[in-house]
Amino acid sequence: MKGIVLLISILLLVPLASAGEWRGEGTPLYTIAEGSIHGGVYVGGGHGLTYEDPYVEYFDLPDNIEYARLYVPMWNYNEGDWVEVTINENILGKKSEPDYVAAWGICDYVFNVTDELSPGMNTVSVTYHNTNGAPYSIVLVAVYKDATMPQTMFWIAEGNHALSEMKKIDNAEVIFESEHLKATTNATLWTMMIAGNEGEMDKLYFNSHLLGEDVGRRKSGAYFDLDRWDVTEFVGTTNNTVRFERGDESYIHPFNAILSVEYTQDQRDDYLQINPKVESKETTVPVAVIVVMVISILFLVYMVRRKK
Amino acid sequence: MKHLPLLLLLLFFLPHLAAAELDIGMNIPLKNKEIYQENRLVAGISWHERGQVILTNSGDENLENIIVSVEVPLQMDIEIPIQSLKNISADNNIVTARIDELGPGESVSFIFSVKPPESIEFKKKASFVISASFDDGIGPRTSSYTHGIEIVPPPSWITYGTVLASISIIFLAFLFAWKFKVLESFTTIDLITIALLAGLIGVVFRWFWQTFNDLLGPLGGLLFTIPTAVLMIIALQLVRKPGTATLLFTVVELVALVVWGTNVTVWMGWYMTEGIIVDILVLLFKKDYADRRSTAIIYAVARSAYAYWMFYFFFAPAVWKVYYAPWYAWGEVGIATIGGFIGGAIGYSIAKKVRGAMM
Repeated sequence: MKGIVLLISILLLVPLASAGEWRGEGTPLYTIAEGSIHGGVYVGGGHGLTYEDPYVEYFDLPDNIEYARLYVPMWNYNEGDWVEVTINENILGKKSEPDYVAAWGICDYVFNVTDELSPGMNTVSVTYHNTNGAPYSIVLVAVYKDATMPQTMFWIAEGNHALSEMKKIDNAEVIFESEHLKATTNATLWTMMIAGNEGEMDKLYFNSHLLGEDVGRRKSGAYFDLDRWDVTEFVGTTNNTVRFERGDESYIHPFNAILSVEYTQDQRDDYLQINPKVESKETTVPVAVIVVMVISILFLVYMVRRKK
Repeated sequence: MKHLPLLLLLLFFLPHLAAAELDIGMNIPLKNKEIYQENRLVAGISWHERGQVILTNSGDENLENIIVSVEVPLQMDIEIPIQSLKNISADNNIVTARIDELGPGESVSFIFSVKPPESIEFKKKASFVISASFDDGIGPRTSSYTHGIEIVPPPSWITYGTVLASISIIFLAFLFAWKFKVLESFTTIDLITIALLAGLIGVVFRWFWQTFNDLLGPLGGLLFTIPTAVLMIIALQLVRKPGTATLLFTVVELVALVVWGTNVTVWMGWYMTEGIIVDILVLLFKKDYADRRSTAIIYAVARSAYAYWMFYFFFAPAVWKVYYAPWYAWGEVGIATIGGFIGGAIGYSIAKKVRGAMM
């Protein structure tokens, strides 16, 4: 009998000894880049979880890309997985470590692609190794220069924050800080979320103004929502806050929020500020798993001793 | 004899006439065909499903001024995603694409997206009618192709019906338990045993499976079906009461609901049926609580196969609106059956020893 107790104990403890794949709550959104430019911001992408391999998306871009980030959200990341991105037949190489990972392996591979893009049509293709997993989408955020356009202030926020009922994380905020938002017009906000469900009411706010309910409802593809919002009438003169509320969603992952605000006239010199990347937190074994294992072993030992 | 020159002329031109060919093909939905069912769209999904039209010049002549029209059935809403081919438009349920030139042996494709109807009463067949006109150097020609698809429910009434059935199963199970005083027959130790085994299935091994299922690739499901079968057989042998399996799988889902936040409340009745099937088998085998290796295997195989069948053929289409390719879904059911077989065989040995040590 001792052998069985030992065997069961070892079997139950195997997960503890191995790297846990519950990836935690992830990384709250933060501003990775901000600046002002005579030009604009391009945000595009698609098209949901389809398990295609290669997974291909097209981007029709303007000239003079000054800064660009490419996002490849993936389902079911595990050690040993990789993605390989090809832009216009230029292979960027395999990348195995995602930049942000959360929950049961919902992750995001992020690439700086400023120098890889061309004006006009760009083909981005992703091949991958991921048993049971696949890309949710390919999303491109690009800041472009156009001297004929008004000056625009922009903020690009990224991360992967698991708002979940299980962990009782109900909302997330990202604040776009500024002291220069005077005399503005045409403010646009883009949001990208993963794993939203139709009918489970989440909410999205901009400076306390409700932009939408059930925003995460797989409208841009399976498990994928990319939205563009006109927030001109809500934009503040200093800080602007985007707030994601989980509502009835069991899980929802805000991945991106991008704000661009056009000035009516030039306010300052153009600039681009790139902030340090926030590293994902280390993963842990869920407390519930440990508790159930310990109680089960104690009960088994109790029952065996009781018989004796 | 006077027709001979005409015949010779015809024979001379015939190869040219036959040489210009534009083959048309279509893929919809544009998903991995190894997993998802081809040519089947699900009503009520919230996104536009992509389709791809592929044109191949299989002849020897250069084809020019190709105009392709795709008639989209059922008034489905159309979107044109950004793609390499630029001359594509949609108007009045017709997608039109213009291609300047296509050389011999070359292919070109374009994509468009359609939103399936919100709801349909029954499975419905529909067709994308694709016609192409082009110039092959001799004159204008045409080619056409009809691509059949199936639009399938779930319309809302089927979803509501399944919810109603689920609630009915819960109600009947409680009625049965109350009428025959099933719950009163369980001792405190029995209930603790069931709760802990359910905790091991719903929390520990579910996490274990989610964590390590990739290691076994397509056989990853075994990491859940085997331990579940083992623990179910242990529960049957230790508790030895009618309704044990039903109670076990009900608690598994309740635990998962609390710990993982899985939203299964309205589907609980269907999850209970995994246990109901085992309990019925126990009664059919004259209250054999997996006391023989053969019955342990039968119970475990029945539960595993049924649970996976439910997932791929009931929950996936009815709840998540996903239709898996039949061979893939049946393959998964087959793997679950193997898992049940292994779990039943191992479970019998472990349960016997655990019972010997505890009772």
